[in-house]
Amino acid sequence: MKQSIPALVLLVCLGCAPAPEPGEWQAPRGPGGVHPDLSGVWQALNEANWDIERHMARASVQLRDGPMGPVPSIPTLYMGATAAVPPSLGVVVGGKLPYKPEALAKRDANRANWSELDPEVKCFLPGIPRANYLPQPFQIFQSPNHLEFVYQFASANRNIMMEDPGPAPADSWMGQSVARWDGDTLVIEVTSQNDQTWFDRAGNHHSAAMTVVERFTPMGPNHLAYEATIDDPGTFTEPWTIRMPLYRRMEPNAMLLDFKCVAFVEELMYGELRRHPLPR
Amino acid sequence: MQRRNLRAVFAGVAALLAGAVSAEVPRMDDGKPDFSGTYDITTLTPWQRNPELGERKHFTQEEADEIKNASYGRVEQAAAPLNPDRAVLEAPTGEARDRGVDRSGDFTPGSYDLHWFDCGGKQCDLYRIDGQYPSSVIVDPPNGRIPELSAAGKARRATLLPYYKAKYPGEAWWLEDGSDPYDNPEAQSVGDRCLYMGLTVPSQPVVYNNTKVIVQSGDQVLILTEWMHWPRIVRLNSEHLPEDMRSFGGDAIGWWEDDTLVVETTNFIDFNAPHPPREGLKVIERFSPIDGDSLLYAFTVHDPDYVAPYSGEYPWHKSDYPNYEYACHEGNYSLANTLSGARALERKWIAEHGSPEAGEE
Repeated sequence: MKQSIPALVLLVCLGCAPAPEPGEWQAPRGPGGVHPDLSGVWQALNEANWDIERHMARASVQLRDGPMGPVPSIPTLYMGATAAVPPSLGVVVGGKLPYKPEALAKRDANRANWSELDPEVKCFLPGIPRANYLPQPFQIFQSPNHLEFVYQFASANRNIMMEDPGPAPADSWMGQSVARWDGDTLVIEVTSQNDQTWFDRAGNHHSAAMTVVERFTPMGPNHLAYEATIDDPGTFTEPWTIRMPLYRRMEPNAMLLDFKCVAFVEELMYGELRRHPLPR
Repeated sequence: MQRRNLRAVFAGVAALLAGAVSAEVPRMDDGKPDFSGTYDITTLTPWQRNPELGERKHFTQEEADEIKNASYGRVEQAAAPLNPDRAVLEAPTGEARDRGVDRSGDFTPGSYDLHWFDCGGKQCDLYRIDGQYPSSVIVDPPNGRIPELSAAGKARRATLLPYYKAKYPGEAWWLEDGSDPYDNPEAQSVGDRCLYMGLTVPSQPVVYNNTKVIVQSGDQVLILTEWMHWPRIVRLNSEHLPEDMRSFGGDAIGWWEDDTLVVETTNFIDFNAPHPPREGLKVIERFSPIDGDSLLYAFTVHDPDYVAPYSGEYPWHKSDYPNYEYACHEGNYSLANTLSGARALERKWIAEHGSPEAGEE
């Protein structure tokens, strides 16, 4: 399969997942017998949650100036190499994001203050597309007429609506997902997300005007091709796309477990308000 | 268990006889009922029976009407304009202050307006089973009440954080008696901490966010509770996780008994920090089709904290009202304000009384 991919595609986006070529493989039908079966426990296997852009490794997810170049920030210092950013050729088609200048400045400020600002640190709902490539599994539930995504991280979830109810009554962290089938591809348009979620731990951000169009395509019994096109004219000069494979968790007992991280961040968020605060 | 199964069948037969079947029960490819959909479990039927009713299982039509009318009356009253000349609430003193307050007390403004509750935005009803209005969700013990605490339950609860009855909120009263209700975030309720609502297993109708989503997907069934965005994943024909894998919502496995989906949940932890295991707590739930728009939800709770198991049942009706995001933690100003308010009251108290003697390290 890999040999059939044009070299140009490899150059543009190494590791990105192409859609299956027609006639190559037919996904088994899901419940109801019409659409492919997307159900199961899935997970990304890449560095996207560290930084969706193409990037070299860096000493820490949050850096500060040192005497001879950047060094880890105080909040991440004691995590050593576990808080270092692994390198990646990126999941963004073209490698880099088309930021407007002021939005790029905000991204850099976000990155410099990662521990205070990244919603993942506070266990906030992750938003779309980030939920799909957090380093934890998610599960697609599929019955003949219903689809629901559940994420292990923070027990986040999203209703997948097969009929468009019109604009959502209010913005939310996970937005409103309206889906349709395009052949064997599940296409989900996500709107009404608030501006509080990020794309990754690198401070990449968006506004509340963002729309995300996702495409989930079975490319084998245990792989989905995932693609998301982000349109946010207030933040970026043009729409851009991420692509990655999603892998089925193959353990016979694969399942989502509890990661209710709200309690895990109470010391971080409220510890200084204890009657007898612990040392910091 | 067999009794509950029969009850569901009777409910279905009764509905058929009454010509009330609005839709056929949808079926999965394997012939099992497909419960997938969105449900609204709002009801005016009480969880426990009014003790005055004894073992009387049903309300009369007049009693049901009275409950409904009282609910509508509250909605009307809440929608009426406020009196701008209403006096400011006086701070309680003396015996009234010592009596303390709770959420429904005399000296709190209450929570938000009724409009924001499920029965404030629509005309709620009591549910009917076999054409009658049950007088409680709990049907066993026969008095419709949760049984008494067992000796083991009392002993176990004595080891947990005490429940503090909130007193007059203008003073750091806990410095007087040496208690520590607001010392730490972990001491606040799991609801205030945005961790959990203890009303999910078994599922209990509550004041709002009563939406449930079921999606049957192969050998797993998702039961999603809107409040606190709580997904329960039921593994069919599986075994429970080892006992050291526990959670608030427990570990749910399930199986089919004819048309009834049976779910067994164990491996719970306690709601109270530091959340010790709830040994021996087991909940059996049974989902049985009534018709294409409704299922009968029945449950039995085996809890060694009580002298006997207890059971209940009520219908879940499908709803066009979608499940919305319940982002609690993300906007939880309350927890920080509770703690910082307590610190402020302590500073004020110490300025007036000096450093407290009792309960200090």
